[in-house]
Amino acid sequence: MLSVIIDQFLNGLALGALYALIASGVAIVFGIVQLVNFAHGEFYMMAAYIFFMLLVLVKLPYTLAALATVLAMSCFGALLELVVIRPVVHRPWQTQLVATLGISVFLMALASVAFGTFPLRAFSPLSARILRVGSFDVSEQRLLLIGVTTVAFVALHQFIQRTKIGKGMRAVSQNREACVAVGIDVQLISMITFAIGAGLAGLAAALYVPLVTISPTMGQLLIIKAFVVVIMGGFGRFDATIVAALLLGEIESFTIQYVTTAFVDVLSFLLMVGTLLFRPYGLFGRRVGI
Amino acid sequence: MMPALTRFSTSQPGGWGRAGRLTWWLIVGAALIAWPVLIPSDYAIGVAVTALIYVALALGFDLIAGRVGLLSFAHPAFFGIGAYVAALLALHWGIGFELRALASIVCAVLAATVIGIPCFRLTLHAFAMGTLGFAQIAYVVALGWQDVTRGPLCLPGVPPVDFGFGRWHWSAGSLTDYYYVGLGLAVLVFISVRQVTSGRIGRAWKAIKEDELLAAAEGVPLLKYKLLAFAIGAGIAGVTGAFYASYATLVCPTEVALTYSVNLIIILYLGGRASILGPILGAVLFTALPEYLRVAQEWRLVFYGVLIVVGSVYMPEGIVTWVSERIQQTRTRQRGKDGNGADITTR
Amino acid sequence: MAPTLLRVDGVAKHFGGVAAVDGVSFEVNNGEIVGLIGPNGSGKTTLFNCVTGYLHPEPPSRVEWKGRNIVGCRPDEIARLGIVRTFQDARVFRAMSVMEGLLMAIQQHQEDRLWPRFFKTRAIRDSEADAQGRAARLLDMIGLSRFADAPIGTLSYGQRKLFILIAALMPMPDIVLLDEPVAAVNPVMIDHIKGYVQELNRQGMTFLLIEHNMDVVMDICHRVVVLDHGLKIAEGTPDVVRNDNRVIDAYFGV
Repeated sequence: MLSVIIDQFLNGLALGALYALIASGVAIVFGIVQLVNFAHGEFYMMAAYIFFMLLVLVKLPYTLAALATVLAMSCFGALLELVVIRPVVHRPWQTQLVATLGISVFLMALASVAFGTFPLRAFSPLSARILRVGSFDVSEQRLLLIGVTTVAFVALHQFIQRTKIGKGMRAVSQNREACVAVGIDVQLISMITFAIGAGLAGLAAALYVPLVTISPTMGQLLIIKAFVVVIMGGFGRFDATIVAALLLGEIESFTIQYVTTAFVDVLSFLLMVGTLLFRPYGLFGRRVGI
Repeated sequence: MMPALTRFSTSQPGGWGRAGRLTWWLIVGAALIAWPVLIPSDYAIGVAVTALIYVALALGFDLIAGRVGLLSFAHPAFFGIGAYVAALLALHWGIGFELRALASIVCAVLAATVIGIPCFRLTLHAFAMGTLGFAQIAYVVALGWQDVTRGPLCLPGVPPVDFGFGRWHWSAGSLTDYYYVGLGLAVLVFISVRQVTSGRIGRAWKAIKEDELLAAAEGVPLLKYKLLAFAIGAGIAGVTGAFYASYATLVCPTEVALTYSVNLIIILYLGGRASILGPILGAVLFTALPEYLRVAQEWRLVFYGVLIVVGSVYMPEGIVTWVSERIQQTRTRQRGKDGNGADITTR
Repeated sequence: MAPTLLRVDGVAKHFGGVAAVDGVSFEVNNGEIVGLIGPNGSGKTTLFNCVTGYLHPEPPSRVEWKGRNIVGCRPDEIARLGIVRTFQDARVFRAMSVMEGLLMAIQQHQEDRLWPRFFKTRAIRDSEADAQGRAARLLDMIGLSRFADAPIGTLSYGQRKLFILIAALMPMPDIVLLDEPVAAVNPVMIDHIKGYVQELNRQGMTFLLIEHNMDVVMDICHRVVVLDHGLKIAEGTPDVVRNDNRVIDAYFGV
């Protein structure tokens, strides 16, 4: 019995780590660029295909493929900010939403054309390995996911707290106009923020994809889960987002034992709707621009 | 001394004059009615029916997304509810189309009220996300409530559109029949939307869209009017769903999927919002252009994606608005030369 | 009609720990022009917002309109009661034409039941025609008739202030709350606006206005209420208030 619970707990952590990586990508962009990126799920999908190509087609070693994916995605994020996001930053939110929706449609369709809709697999050396601890088993890939995610967030936290750019990011998230007046390069910070967000999606793909299949629509459900997390965490508050992600991961991991996956999804949507209605400030945070 | 009043009108610039506009409508009307005769290919008529369905949906969606300015993802839920209700009523109880359509409208409006009341408390992105949440719930229900909807197995064999009055009975047989019913539906929707938006309701929506605080100060009950736009749009989607159920004879959970939201958003952002012509143009372009350009099915979405992004950047209001603004600008430039911008103080 | 239209009674509103309005009471009687003055940040617009439903003052605040407490009502409900307000930032519907904007200002007050009519019945057409007539007369009064079809956004700032004034009058309200009606307006226009307010008052309209322009306030107001740091520090006729030491201190003191 205990092993079942620990099993579910660890699965929940792994799922939570995935949600945390994706949701923080959305949250960081919203906090700093004031834009909700509806294409973020497709960033993850795109990263998954890039990772697949590097790992399975080019046959790079796992670590290298993972790093290259993160790097490639960061560059893509920066490029996208420059070409598509910058022109619409001053437009009303509906236009921004639609622009990112367009990117989402484009990426999904491109993936369908390029790779077909048949699910692909990209196994890592750890995919099949199970660690035996006492009387329970846990997938090593999941442990890797949890471990690397933790390291990544610690590193990101340090970056934001200590470095000049990180401080600039915090400043912009608080008061954009003041930053412009003071001479902070807001556009550069926006670009870096997008790069980080996309990079996080890349990391998520490299860590989680060995456990699942790859298809053009894999990002769609995930983006909605990301919204659930971001709303539960309170839009823009980084630490709260991570906690909310872990919470959601655990809730899903435990409920899936008793109900169908469909109902687990409905549960998440209900959580989102419920939070929006009863605690629009999120479970922990204060209202940020919403 | 009221020359200004006689020129006052709420509709777009009448450069053609009344007779000109009437002639234009007659030509268009004639072409629409004669379409199946002019181009008798089943393929073309099928495309036309799809276009008509999207015209109706887009006009309804524009009420909330264009006129009031609240981007909602819930519309497919209303369309899907309409389709499922009509299909179930027809399959299990053999109910005629008039009652099915009515039931679809009622259910869609109910859903709109249930979704709208909580969601309208939210602003901006939160509203979009709330509607997205509800839409997803609807999709999952359609997929999962197998006892009723048969989930992914769909509801096949939906009876055709049929009208009956006393002893007279007619049911749609051919594709051309469906074209004319669809045309009738689109025309009814067109008239209803025109009616509702040209009066006080449309003006109140315009006010809400531009400045809610000011609208409230002028006495507009915000929630009521937002719900009104939402409900009317939902009702339109519902009856269109009922039509679709019979036309496609098959109702699947994909009818409730996110793709319809994306399609409608593409249509409005392509054609133009807060106008009658915008959604119509968008719907026609969206349906016809890929067919005309013979774009392969898979590349279609790539094409749309690029189109939406480019449109958002360069023509955020859509083609129709962009064009009418250009016309407006040339007119104002001409009027400005008469010099009627003098300040009151020179009186 | 009973003389006291609006009674503000112990209205208080705090933000965080700060009292924007700290228990203010005064009355506006039928047919008066009452001025609400005070240094920047004294709580005047906050008070307006509390009266018109945009903010909910804390208990035991009371705002009595013709004897009935309206605290907790929505702004649109309050507007339909006959209390019309303007905004400090001169908000208008820029996309609408001048005529449309004027019709908008009255249409919600014309619905006898608060339900929009779908069909253009004879009653609707008549009331629309009435509204157009009234709008035309008001436009004529301020000399902007030739702008009836122009988008409101194309009016000059002074013209916009005039428009806002007549838009407020369209629904034939019982009281008009003007928030800085002559701010940033040139002197000739100020005279025009002053003139219109006085003329309308002679015809029976009641006004409560926030203004920083002392000349205007002293010239046209019957009574003046002075706020400072959320408290009422003086009230009376312009002469009385002008010479009150506390008022002088508030504006010029340390």
